[in-house]
Amino acid sequence: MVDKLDLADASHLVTRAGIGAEWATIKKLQGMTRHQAINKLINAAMMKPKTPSKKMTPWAVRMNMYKAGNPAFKMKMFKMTRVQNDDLKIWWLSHMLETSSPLIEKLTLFWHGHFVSSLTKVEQPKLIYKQHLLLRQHAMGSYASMLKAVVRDPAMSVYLDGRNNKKDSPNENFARELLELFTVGHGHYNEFDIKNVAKAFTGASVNRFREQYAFNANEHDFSVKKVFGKNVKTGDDVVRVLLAQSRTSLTIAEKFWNLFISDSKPDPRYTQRWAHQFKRSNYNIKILLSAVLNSDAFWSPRYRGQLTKSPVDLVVGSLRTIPSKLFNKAELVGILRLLDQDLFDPPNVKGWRVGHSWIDAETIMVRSSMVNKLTRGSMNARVNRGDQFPNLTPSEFQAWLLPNKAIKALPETPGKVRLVRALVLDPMYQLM
Amino acid sequence: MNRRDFVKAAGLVPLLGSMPELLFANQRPKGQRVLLLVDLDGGNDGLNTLVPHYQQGKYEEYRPTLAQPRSRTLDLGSDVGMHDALQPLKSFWDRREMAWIQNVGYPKPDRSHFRSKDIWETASNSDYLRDEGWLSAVLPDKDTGLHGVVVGSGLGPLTGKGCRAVAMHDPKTFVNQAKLVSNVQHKSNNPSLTHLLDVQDQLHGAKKLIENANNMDTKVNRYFKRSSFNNDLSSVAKMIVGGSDATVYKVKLSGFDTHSNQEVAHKNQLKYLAEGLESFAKVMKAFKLWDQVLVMTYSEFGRRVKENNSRGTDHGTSAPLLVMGGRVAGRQLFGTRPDLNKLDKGGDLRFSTDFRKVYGTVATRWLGQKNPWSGYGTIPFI
Repeated sequence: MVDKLDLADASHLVTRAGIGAEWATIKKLQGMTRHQAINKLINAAMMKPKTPSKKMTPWAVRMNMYKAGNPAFKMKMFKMTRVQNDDLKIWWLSHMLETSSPLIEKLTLFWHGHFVSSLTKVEQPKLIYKQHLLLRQHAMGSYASMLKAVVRDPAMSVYLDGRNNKKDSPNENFARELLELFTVGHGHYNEFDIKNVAKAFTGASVNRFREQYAFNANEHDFSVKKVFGKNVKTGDDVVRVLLAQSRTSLTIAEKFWNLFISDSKPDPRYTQRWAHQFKRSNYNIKILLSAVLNSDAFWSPRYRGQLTKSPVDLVVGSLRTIPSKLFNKAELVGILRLLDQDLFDPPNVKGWRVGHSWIDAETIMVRSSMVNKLTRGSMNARVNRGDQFPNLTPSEFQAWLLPNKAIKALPETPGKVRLVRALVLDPMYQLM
Repeated sequence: MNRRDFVKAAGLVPLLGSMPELLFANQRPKGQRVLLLVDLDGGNDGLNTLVPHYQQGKYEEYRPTLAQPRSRTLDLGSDVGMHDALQPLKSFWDRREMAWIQNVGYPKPDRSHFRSKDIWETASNSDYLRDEGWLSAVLPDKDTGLHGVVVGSGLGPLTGKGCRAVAMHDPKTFVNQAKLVSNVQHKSNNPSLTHLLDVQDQLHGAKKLIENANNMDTKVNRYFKRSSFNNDLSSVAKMIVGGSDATVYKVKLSGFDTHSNQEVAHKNQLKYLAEGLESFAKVMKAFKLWDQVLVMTYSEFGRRVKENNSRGTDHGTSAPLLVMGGRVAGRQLFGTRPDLNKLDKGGDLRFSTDFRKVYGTVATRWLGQKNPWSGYGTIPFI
């Protein structure tokens, strides 16, 4: 068969449809057909994370500390929130490092960058945790169900001020981002739509004590509004109208292009077709994923090495590829922050960066430091005992670790450790 | 040990503010002008920054809980008050080193943070997407050195192929980490790789220029209180004083997206802004550079005239810009002020000065370059 996966193909699939290039998975997929390998990844049983062991202080307790009037207590409350925020980041990072099904982690992370909320603004880690479970639940399920759930997610209601959106004084923040970022995209609505969508969502509120979304009918504007020419009354009506817009499926298809294929502008010959299939399947994410991974574009040599690794791809991915005890979890969370992919804390409502914008003068330095540390020093000791790397030829090592040939000359002195270090420090390693 | 170091070591500098020029000399290319851009991120509420006392009644009607009374503004004449959190800047105003350009905006305003920030940073029309920052259209090409430095992330107005610019958190970390990045020359038709290699190349160029900033710690740090915005401004001051050849520096002060409980939040941000700029200006004066520096703020938009029900304000349109520097035609309010009786259909201000008129002024009257927006004219604020 023409499309049996060789080492480079298997590594390509594992890296892009997962996090990092763990050797065991590559070996498992090598020799399968594209279709078989993709099915195996998409339909594998997804490993669930353990329940977080660190506690998240209930809102009532936090509020009592805050209201105690004692500045020291207030400081203690803020500090506690910071610590608990970090605990949550470490919790997810640990799972990403350990899981046998990284694909769902990649998608859950993607949805966190799409339906954005942040620990910083929400100030209640439990709400973000609940949002995370929601996004995880739907990450490879139905986008339509996810959207319906997100509009009544308490963290989202805090983050985009949905809870401040009242009949007599609509707050447009949520309405605007719902249209601009979550569904139809910028340029595909007008200010009139925004105002009416905001009205339709009036009455949202959040009970922080119960960690729940609530609807306050007294603050809801029950009038009939027009959105995209359709009559709507409630937020749910708006969601239905948005799901009927073909732009909505295209927004996601285009984002999948940048997630799985290339940093370049989406090629409409592909994304239009994917969007169509996606919408027709009632927004089944596995259908979209399968279309993307089975496409010519995904396998084309043209696009290999044209995706810039996100910080999670680089940091978590490298450690899944080359396990190391040199980094503690808090440090890794810190590195992700420096690389501008702070978990549960995107910089703004547009989410984390995408594509080659991940690389700037500042992040490239942190990226280089990270892989430098990973392949320096104590790796030698372990590897020299011969228990770390498979026995491969230099060109097989390249096929495993790089999407394309190394840019810099490789070391002439033989030795697996030296070679791996050279490959990982090569500029090509920042791409996939 | 040279003289300056000796003076410092001997503890003879308590009177720094009063006779600095006797003590320190800057290390810049002679006479080179600098532009410092301050991005008020989130959309600064212009109406509570420059308060329209000339329409106080109307203003209080729109802002029942948020209106700044005259007692909490600083009188700038013409019945306009400046939010009193900007007190540290008042002396610059009085000394004619600071001015405001009122009611700046653009046609068909976009109320998305990102899109409107892009419009400001690329100087495009609101219905046209541009990838290149406005400064890439202004600054002349150069093969070495830097056009600009962003303290923070993202190159913003310095984005573009022709622009040699770096973004960093602070110069110290920057120089240490730059040492770890390899410098390779390689031609490729992979745009992601080309971008990566380009960044690496500029990084090495920048490293050489910025190393000297790190020797300026003791001379500059003392001027600044500790805050993240101040740290950023202090980094810029060190680079300018230390002789980096960049023309443009950019810093960002976030927290202006005041959808709820605006009063305290906005006051604090303005206070940070004023304190930071005051310290920065003091350093520039101490090194006799104030005449070579132009500081200018910008923000993606102002805020809705009518406050919302959360004691905040939603995204709006035009807002005033602040300019400061030794050569600014100060103590003046440029442009036509906003009129609360003539709002647009959405209840927003109608802008009266296009932001490209401001950029064109900076390009020609300050940087001595051609004006890509000459159709808009210029303003004599510099």
